[in-house]
Amino acid sequence: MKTNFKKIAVDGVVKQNPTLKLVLGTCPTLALTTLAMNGIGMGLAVTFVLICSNVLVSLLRKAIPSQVRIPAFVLIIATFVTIVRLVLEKFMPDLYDSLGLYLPLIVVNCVILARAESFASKNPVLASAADGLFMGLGFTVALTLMGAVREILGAGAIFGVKLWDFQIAFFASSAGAFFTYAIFIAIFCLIENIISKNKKRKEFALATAYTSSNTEVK
Amino acid sequence: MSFFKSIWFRCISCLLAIALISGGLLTILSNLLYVSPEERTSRAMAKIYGAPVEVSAENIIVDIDSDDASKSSPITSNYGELQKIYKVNVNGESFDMVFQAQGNNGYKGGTITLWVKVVFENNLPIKIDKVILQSSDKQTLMSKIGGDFYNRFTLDDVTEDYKNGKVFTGNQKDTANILNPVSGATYSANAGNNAVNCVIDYCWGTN
Repeated sequence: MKTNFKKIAVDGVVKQNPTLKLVLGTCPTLALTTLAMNGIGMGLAVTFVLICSNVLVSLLRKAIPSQVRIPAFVLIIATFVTIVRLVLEKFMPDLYDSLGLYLPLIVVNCVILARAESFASKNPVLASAADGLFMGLGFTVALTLMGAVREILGAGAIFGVKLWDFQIAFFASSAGAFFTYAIFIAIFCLIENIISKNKKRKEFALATAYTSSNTEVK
Repeated sequence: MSFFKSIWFRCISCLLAIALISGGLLTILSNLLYVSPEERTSRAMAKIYGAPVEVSAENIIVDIDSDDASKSSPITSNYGELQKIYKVNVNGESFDMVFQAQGNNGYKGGTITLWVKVVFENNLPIKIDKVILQSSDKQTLMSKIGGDFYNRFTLDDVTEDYKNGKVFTGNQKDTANILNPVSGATYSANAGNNAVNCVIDYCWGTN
């Protein structure tokens, strides 16, 4: 069967965006999006773990008995999360410190386990790697955008660069995280609805034109 | 023989194989990517001074990681402990002292460890020049503690207060001391204040 990479890409980033559509991995989304840089860091760490765990789960999908697939997936994911921790601590200590507790918690991030279970365990290696990449990108983009908005409004800065002294402390708080998340989901659904309505309208117009031209021929 | 063909055996052997391979891989990587206490210290010094700084053996006053027994004991106080004390940029009677201070009484009884640089002139402490975070233990709301919190310790107007026996506090009601709270992370801020209070206690001998 031929792999449809375009569909995997669109699904991962837009149609099944793990943060804004599937509402998975909400714990780091709410806790770490105080800064845009945190969003990028966490997003890239999750993307790495997603790609690696998806590839390995896909490779071993016929060897792992279905009875122990979840513990096996968790073992695989935990291994890659530990590798990410070791690499970040060695080469990016600042990012390692700012991600703190949420870095080891990637092990229990629903996005990764969900993709291993629902996609990688049923699909070939290349498709699984692509799914990991695009799901990770969707997660990274959502976290970075949320982080940027919260940093601008809550700290008057972007990527650590001060823009102005005006700050709304609410956006840096936990309640502000929920509020921003809700607004993002609402905007995402609104855009998706508009696009799907436009698409349906175009399809309807095409179908009508086709029917009327057929009638004229008869 | 039937046991070796059973699903139980397959399940256990599969999980064992994954655990063994993962364990082996992580053992190798943790050795390759190990961050030693010396490396952590040099990173902190580079953060404080903007470039790596060498500390000679005679300028190490306390270092809990040192092999020298006379230097490996931390200096403890009511606020916490001083785990590392280095003399840097020594120029006669002017020098910097850099402290690794661990403050007590954080969230859930945890601690915060800070690096604190104090400038000395004529062998007397002049002011706290820089404070940076090293690590924290059990503090889940560290992201709330930003640069403003650390900068508060270095302001000129509070230096006179150290000399008058004041220390930092996160308690709004404790007006006798220098207020430095963080809304939403008061316990963690308390541990951060205590880390600096250890240094004030050592340098200015207030208590």
